[in-house]
Amino acid sequence: MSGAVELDDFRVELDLEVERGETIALLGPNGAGKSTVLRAIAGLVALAHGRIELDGAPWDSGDVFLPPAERRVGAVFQSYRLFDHLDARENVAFGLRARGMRRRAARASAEAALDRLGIASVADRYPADLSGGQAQRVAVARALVTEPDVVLLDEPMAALDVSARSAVRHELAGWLDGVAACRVLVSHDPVDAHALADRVVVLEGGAVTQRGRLVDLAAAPRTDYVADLVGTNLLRGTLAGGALHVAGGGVVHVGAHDAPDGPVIATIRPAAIALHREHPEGSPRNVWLAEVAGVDRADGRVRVRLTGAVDLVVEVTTEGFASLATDVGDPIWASVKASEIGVVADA
Amino acid sequence: MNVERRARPGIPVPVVVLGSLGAVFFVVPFVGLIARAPVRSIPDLFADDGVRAALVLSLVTSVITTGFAILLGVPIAWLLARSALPGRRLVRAVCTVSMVLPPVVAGVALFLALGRRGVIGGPLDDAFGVSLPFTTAAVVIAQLFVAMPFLVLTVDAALRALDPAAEEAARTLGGSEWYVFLRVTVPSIRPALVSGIVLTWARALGEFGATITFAGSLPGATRTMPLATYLALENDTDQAILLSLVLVAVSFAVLFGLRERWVGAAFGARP
Repeated sequence: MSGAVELDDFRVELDLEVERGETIALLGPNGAGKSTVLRAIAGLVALAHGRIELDGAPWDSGDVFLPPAERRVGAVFQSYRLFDHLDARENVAFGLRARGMRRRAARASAEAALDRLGIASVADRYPADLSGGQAQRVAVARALVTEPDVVLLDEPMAALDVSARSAVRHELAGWLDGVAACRVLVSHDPVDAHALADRVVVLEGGAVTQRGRLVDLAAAPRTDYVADLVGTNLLRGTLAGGALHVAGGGVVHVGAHDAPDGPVIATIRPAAIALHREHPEGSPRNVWLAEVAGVDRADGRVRVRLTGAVDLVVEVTTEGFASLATDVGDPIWASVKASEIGVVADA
Repeated sequence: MNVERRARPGIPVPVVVLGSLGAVFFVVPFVGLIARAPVRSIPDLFADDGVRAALVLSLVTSVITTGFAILLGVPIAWLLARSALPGRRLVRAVCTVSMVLPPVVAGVALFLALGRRGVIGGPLDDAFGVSLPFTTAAVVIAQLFVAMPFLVLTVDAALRALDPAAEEAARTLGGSEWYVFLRVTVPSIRPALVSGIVLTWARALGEFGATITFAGSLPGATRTMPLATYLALENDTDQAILLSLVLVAVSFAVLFGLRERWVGAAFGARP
């Protein structure tokens, strides 16, 4: 697809090409227009200009607009949108029945699909009686059972407990692998993209800000959002010799690099930064006194946000953090080796 | 700390008092009716051919009316709620004004339009020899005219309040607009639909003014229970009271039984 969707005073501009058997993740902050793109592909909203086509056949272009029912799309919506008045089996069979399959055959296919996803036992239950994980599986089964050409996944993990997500993510990757469709995943969680997608397109404020593989994004994030998303510190400034003069005022000494002097983006991995209660001894070229602005704990790691001459996110182990005996508002020393800092020219 | 007040939070006394008073107001007339009920037995009442005919006529016409109201009223509601119909608010007013008109006025309007000399009734009579007034069909038309707005209004409100999420999902699954309407939209508004059906039926059953004006009061053809009750009041008060009680009983059974059961039922928690 390529084109724009306009809704009232909101506009999304996007170019997207997805191969069969490939998953593209649309990442972006809330309100970036990710779901709107899915709605356009599904035919729930028309393009303002541009075109959507599948294998060369137009779905939406100047003079063609295929209604949703004529696009072979399987969508898993954010809150699943199961039909409350139908049991799980009839929910899954809906798309088959709608396309004219006979009741008995549709039910049999639906049961087989539920069985493949390991929830054959809930076929008779209504959505109100399904757990979050079961409802998600029913939604996935409903979307895939019609063998669509395009699979759309809108925040498929958002409605699940955090504890259930990683297992479901893994399973979902397996189910999707068996589908020879173009797959588009919308998420604001890079972990989803990592587990499910081949390539990533970042949408911010209705426009693409970066695209590529997740590792490419992590190596050279182009915006603060992407840097935050992939967990990397992003510093914009002007390079002069071996010194980067950060836009915010600080100076960062960088190691070997290819970038010419001038505007650059420097990246520092959070784990490459060390924290100290006292001014550190030894060789690191970059040492700053900062203030602890925030502390997030997750999975045995602690992410510490610092403010000061240079705003940074630092990642340390839980033990390391405990030994610092520090808290929000405390002063702290941060150091990083010049060789740990990546520098690329700012396009 | 005032434990008593904390234990019984949120009871606004004036509301409770006025609400109770209002409820009593609804009960009093029925108490009057029951207190004055003659000792004469109900079987005697139903032995009367005229009463049986009126009861059957009322039940049959009100059910037929409700059927037509569903057939026509749900699409009207859909047009009002979902389409880009120009002048929607005006159309909504036109389609529901008969609900608030004095029923006699509704009857006069129907007579002038569909009567033997009416704007439409005249040509109809000339061309096909069809005359509607004073037929059972006229009873249904009169009931439909004043009762269908109840269905239109409830379904219209439900459709406007309905989150289109499920319908969108159904469309992406390949459902045509008609298929989605039947399989998703209508089931999604089931509580309001049932509520509207019951209200429409109840209004049709109780219809008096438009019926007597447009359809007259021919025994067996257009004399429904309300008409029979009114006529009985002139020469047989006991029978009028009993007929009233029958109407009350039938209406109450439907409103209480059907409506509470079907509208109150949560989705998915069905038998």
